[in-house]
Amino acid sequence: MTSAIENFMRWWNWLAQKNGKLKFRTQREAAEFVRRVQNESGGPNAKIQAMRERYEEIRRARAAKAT
Amino acid sequence: MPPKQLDLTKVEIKPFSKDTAVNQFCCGKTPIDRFLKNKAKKAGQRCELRTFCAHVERSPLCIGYYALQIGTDSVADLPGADKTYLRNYIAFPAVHLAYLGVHQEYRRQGLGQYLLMDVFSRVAAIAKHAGFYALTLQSLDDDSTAFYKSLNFAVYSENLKQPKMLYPLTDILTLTGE
Repeated sequence: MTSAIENFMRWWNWLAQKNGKLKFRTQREAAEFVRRVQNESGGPNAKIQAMRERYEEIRRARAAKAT
Repeated sequence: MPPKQLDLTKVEIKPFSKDTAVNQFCCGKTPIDRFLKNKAKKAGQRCELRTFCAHVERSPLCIGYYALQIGTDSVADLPGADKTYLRNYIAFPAVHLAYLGVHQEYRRQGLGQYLLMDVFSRVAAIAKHAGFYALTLQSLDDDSTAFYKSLNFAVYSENLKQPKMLYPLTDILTLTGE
């Protein structure tokens, strides 16, 4: 019984993967989608900004070490 | 495996080469391990993907890596377009982060985030020479999907267990100050 359920789930996931489509139909719609994402997010959020600052700090520390 | 202390100021990110030691690399995700060990070299020779590895100073041992490719999603992925002769054309221009992994012993010390920020720097550099909309990736599991969502990556696929996600190029340029 378990094996039948597992087989069904494998088939279902395979079907979902096969049928996976994108949220836009043309390149223009893709551009609009990206623009919408950017407008709705309002730019980089605090978490990613903190990640970037940490990265820049490490790069500066490395450069200071090298000189 | 006990974690090894990592000083990120000692990490160097270099292009994959014949000297890169990859046999011991293990991030716990089979496709990511397998790519580095079995496919990165050939993919590089064929110019399909460029792989960049993190090392501690001059050690050849790869402790993390990422691989980038230009262009993603053919027109065949668009709804109802599977029979058109355009099916192999690029649906929208992007830089694709095909793989990103951190060796298990160096986890939870910020190396993955450091690698992702290095990807952003490289994407900003590519943007000076070619036009595209976004950085894309296909998330491997629920944990990585949650992580990328927390950074405002947007899902652009439907009904996929491993969703396709993107981050707008303009936001990357804002972050990198380009």
